[in-house]
Amino acid sequence: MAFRPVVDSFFFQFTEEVNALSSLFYLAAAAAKAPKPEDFTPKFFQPGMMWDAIFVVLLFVAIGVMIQRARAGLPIPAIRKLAGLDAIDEAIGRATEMGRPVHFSPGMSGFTAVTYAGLAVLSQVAKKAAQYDTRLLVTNRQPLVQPVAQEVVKQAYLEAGRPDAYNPDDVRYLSDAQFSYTVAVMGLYQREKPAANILYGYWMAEALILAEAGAQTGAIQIGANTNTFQIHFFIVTMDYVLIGEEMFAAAAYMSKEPVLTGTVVGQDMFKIGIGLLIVFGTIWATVAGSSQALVNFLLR
Amino acid sequence: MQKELPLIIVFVSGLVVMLAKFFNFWNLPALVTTLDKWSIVMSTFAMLMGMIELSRLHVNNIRRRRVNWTYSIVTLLAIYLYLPFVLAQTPDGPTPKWMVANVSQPIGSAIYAILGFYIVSAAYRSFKARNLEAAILMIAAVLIMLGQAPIGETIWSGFPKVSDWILTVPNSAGMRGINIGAYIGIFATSIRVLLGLERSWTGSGS
Repeated sequence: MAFRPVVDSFFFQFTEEVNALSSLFYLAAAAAKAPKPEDFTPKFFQPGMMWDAIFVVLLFVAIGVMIQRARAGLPIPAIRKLAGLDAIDEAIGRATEMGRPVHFSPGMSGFTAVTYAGLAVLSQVAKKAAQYDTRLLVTNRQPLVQPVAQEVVKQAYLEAGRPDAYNPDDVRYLSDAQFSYTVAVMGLYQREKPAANILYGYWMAEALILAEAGAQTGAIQIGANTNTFQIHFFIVTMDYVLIGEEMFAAAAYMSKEPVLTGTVVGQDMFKIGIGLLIVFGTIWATVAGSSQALVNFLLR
Repeated sequence: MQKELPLIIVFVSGLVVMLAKFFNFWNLPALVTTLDKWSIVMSTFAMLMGMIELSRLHVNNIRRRRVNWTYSIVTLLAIYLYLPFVLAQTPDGPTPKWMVANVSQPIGSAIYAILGFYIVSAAYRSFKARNLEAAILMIAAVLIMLGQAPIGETIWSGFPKVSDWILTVPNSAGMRGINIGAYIGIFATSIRVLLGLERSWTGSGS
């Protein structure tokens, strides 16, 4: 449980795919990582990881600076309004008025950064549900996430002063098989008729099935997904959708904690830097007629 | 300590894995392989815990005659009828293979097939030009459909080219933009978790 998120987030997703920030950097990194047959000596630095290392250091610096500013009480930019997160209160309130439950799922992936973001929102949703005395149903596909989700919900009920309202049976592990989980959630929609449906995590082919089945029960739906091949299904079937990095701002946005807000501002500063780099690379490639010179420079 | 221990484990193991990605001292890559093996072992135990949890829930449903308790019998039968055959014959044995091929796979395929109907019903509800964004979405979808379906090319030979352009230029640009934001968000969240700034997952609030 402890190191999977780091393995998944840092290395499978970040180091492999952030290199696609621009085609120039992707080419540079791919070329640098290409094995050189004559070189068998183990190196202190892993070969071909220079740009990854620079990105990591820069992101650490950007986030660190903003955390320090927040801790020192210096002004930091506020997070813009995120309709999807603001709508959570409305959704739980609606479920309370209708006397129907709220359904929450932290997605299909194991312990990745996406799941952590989902659990942070689950904590806030559970607290609200406990305050409003509304039943909260949480379904999990991953057995590793199940005990953590139970603990998060239990603690939220405790913090809301309603430990008696916590029912462990309402935080359910259903199945690790993709479509078995999907069918089980669809069955739950039909039997329990949740008035609010929050799908906050990483979703694959089941995204449309779950969102459309939820829409057919008349639930107010809030979704968040980082999978660009499925996100459009959420957009057309759900009432509110958090796209891409918006879902990772949830903990800071909902808790209003300055240090957490600082980390979000730091990540946005880094994103602005990446954007400028892409613009620079585009202009370079347009003016020079080829990006090869820039690639050669990056490979030096 | 109950709250701090998970944070310490995450920090140490995360740091080891991150360092191993950039450095090659103290045989770090081998240490990461070991950590990965531990992770697999933990996942396996978690699966057993999940099975126990599922059984407990459904046994309680049956004992207390909760609403739709009969479905719980089906769930328990599905879990425990398969188990003895796997233990006796291994998952590659003839009976478990037959059960997967003739029960599990057809049900999975049927559910996947529902997607086709849901796409139609989602499209019917969504493709209404209520505002500018919805209108752009609808026009783009119609052009893509005409470009992909043979009838589109019959009507006008330019539809496949328009469709390809939409997919490779604005669509790719949008997807890359979302991906860049998401990956930076993933990385920043990982840093927050590593440094113990985001600890709602420990059950101690944000």
